Amino acid sequence: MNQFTFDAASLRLAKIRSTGRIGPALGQLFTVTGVTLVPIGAILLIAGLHQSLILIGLGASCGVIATWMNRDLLHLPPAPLGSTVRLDQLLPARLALGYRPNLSAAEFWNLLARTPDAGFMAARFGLDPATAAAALAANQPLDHNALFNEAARLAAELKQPVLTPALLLCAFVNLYPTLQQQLTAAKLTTADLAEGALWLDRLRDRQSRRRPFYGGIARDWASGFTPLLDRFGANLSREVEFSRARMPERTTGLDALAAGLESATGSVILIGEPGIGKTALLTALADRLLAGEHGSLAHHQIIALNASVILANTDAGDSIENIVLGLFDEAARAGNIVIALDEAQLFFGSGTGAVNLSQLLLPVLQARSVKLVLAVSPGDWQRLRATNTAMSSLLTPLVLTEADELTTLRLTADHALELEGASGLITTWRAVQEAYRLSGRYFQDEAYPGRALKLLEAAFNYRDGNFISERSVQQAIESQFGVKVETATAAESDALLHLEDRIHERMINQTRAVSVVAAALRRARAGVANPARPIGSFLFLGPTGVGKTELARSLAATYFSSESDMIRLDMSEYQQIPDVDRILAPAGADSGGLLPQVRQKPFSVVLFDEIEKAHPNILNLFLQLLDEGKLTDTEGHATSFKDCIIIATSNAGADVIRQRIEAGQRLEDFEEEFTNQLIDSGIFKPELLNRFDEIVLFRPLNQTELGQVVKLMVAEVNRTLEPQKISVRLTDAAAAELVAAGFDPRLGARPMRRMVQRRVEDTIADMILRGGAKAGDVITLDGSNLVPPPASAPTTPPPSDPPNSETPR
Amino acid sequence: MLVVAFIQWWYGPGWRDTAGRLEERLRTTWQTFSVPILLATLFAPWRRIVTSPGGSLDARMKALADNAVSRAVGFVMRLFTLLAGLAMMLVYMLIGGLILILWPLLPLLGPALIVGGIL
Repeated sequence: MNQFTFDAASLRLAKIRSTGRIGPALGQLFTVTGVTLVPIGAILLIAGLHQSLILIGLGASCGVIATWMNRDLLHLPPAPLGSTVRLDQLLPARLALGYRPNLSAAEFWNLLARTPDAGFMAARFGLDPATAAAALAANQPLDHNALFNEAARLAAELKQPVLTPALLLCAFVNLYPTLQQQLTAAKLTTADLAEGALWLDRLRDRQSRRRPFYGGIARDWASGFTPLLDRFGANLSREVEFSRARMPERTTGLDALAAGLESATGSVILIGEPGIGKTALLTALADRLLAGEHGSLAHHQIIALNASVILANTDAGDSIENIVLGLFDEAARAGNIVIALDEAQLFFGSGTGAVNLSQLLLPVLQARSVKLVLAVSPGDWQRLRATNTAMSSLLTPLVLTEADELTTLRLTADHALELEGASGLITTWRAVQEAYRLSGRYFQDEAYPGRALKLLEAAFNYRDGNFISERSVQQAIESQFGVKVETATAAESDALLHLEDRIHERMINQTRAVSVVAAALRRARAGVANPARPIGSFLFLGPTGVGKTELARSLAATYFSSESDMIRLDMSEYQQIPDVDRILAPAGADSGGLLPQVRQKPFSVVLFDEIEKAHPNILNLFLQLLDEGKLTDTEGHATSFKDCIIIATSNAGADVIRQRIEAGQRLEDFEEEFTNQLIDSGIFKPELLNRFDEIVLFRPLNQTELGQVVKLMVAEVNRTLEPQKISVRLTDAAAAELVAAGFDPRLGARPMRRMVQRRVEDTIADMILRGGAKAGDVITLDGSNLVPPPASAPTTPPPSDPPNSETPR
Repeated sequence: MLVVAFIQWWYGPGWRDTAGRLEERLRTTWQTFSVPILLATLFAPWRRIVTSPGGSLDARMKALADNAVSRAVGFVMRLFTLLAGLAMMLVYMLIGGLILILWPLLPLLGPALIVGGIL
């Protein structure tokens, strides 16, 4: 542990004090005075005024002082850590000016808080300097030595050569738990704050880094003109040359890319998912080549061609083949061009808006007359290798790996500073973290860092005061995907707490099923549920017509935005082995398939009806789905089900449930035994049943409950009639008659719907058509004016939903 | 103390820094005028404008003449650019060299002139 000292009489401090806080202005004053007096004096001297030498002398002296101030006094960098233990040498000038060894904690904090570095850190990490100062007791002593040792430790850890206000702020927070509480309240840690110090360091580095020389005025004089390429391509090198943004120092894969271009094949294929950084890599290469690096490639320019742009700009008289040949020919003649084919699969005839130019590209690659960089996804690379061996063998493959969390966070944070620009908006570190987390969860077709950058860019449309905050990012995701990721509002919390009541407005009984599903939603919205699995997964077992599907539908209607947020799969359609591929069909193959639908609506209820009828191999897919919250399509892309409620229904054992309920048993009494029977019977494997959060048994509805169901159905009829301002009311006698006629213990409420349809809706329809009902009428139906029941209606099951007679052994 | 600080800086790091600045200025000019590139490609055709030689003697002679013109244009353009760059560097060297030589006397120049004006 170092013993730091402070020499208040040191030369450096004297220099710092001499300029004080108005130093820069003083330097400018001396400069202007010198520049003004010397010419005036010279003119007067020429005019014969000998005393003007005084003016020239004063001007010259001002110039000398200004030179000293601007180049020395106003630039007194701190000494490197480890070179001394004297704080008068180690502290940045501004801090050294106000520093005294007897400062209290609050006084030092206030000194620190006045620096621009602290302003940067405080705004982005939720540290309010005033609140922090208030949290430190007025005369709380400061262990100066401990503070500077902690700062030195942090500097060593973060590979920082000198003490900066940001590092001192981190050290200060590390020492005071009261300040850490502020961080915790902002959902941050001291490690995040240290990352902030690096963020600021990178910003300073970018600001101070000088633009490299890009070859000067005669760089391209020995290369040919490229009018066609300028018309059809995007010159990345020119963008780099005239961009105000600074290139990152090094990008992974850059050396390999340059080596590939310099190799015998001379052409490279970049393989990686969208967002992985293929364009960024090309831009970084453009920067290097312009700066004259990489020998034979020095001062080459990278021009990106896009198939759709070429197609869109093709003149009627010129074929696309001619244009592409012309482009390659021009590049070869110019001698300083690297052509980049973005989304290169479009040039091989794969994908929307594609043209097959592989026959043109092959000779170009074979002749090695042009340096080419092609960018494709791994899937397209596999396809190219399978279909065009000749071409793939002429390309040097370079597989790009996805950026890790820390790299992505840093790139996103740096990108945020560019996006902020002159807008005055400030991006918080929590926003950066949230962009990483949520983009990973919802942007499933892209890779890091691209997806995090994309989400952060979207978040700039949702400013939170002067900030781009965690909330901005959440709102961007919510508006794009319809999911709920923000903390629940008071109204939503209330809705969640009373979810059962709202569902029961549409559903009769099945209290246990309703409560387990509602509880799962509450857990998910409160952030208690495991985020790596679906919000909830339930197996609903019971006879037909007792509300299994209706519960899923009610849930979609009451909590998710509408019934359309329910994705329903009838598993009886998936009974063959080829159906496995059908269920795993990727977006391009079947837009109405399960996975594309879930990608489109990640926040939804997914209902697998009659799951026992599916092929066992499909049931095996449920193991991954329920365990990891994702399914991988046939092209290897994962689709997340982590924001879905998974409901599987089955009629298996329905007869047993009915018999036991009729025998007077309660569901709770035989639930476990029933599940064991299901396993023993071989209908479901134990590993599948174990993966559901809950297995819920639905009991058959009795006649009283069916009466309530009838009322709900009549209410539904009234909602339909609402535009015509006609309503219908059933007398108790009519309701009782409908229940009596429609009651079938095997089919539950299902015959009731047909009964209401045939006897109530048909009656109303007749009355409307005969002119017996007009706007404002309330039609009261009693037993006498209901349409008589069809003879076989109540007992005829619908063809698509037969009563299940499977019974566990 | 400040006088000591001034003398220390002016006759030490300040002098070196001024020399460094002159060197940097010369390097910038060297690069801005693409001197290395111009020297390496002094006789290259202008913007690669060349004619491929044809089969007949006439066509070959014509191509040779065209290409010679292209090289001549390139040479003239490059030569003048080189000369302009080198001239600018020469000016910097003269002015910078003078400042470097007079550097130790500059702090005394002001007071000397003031005294001279009074006398």
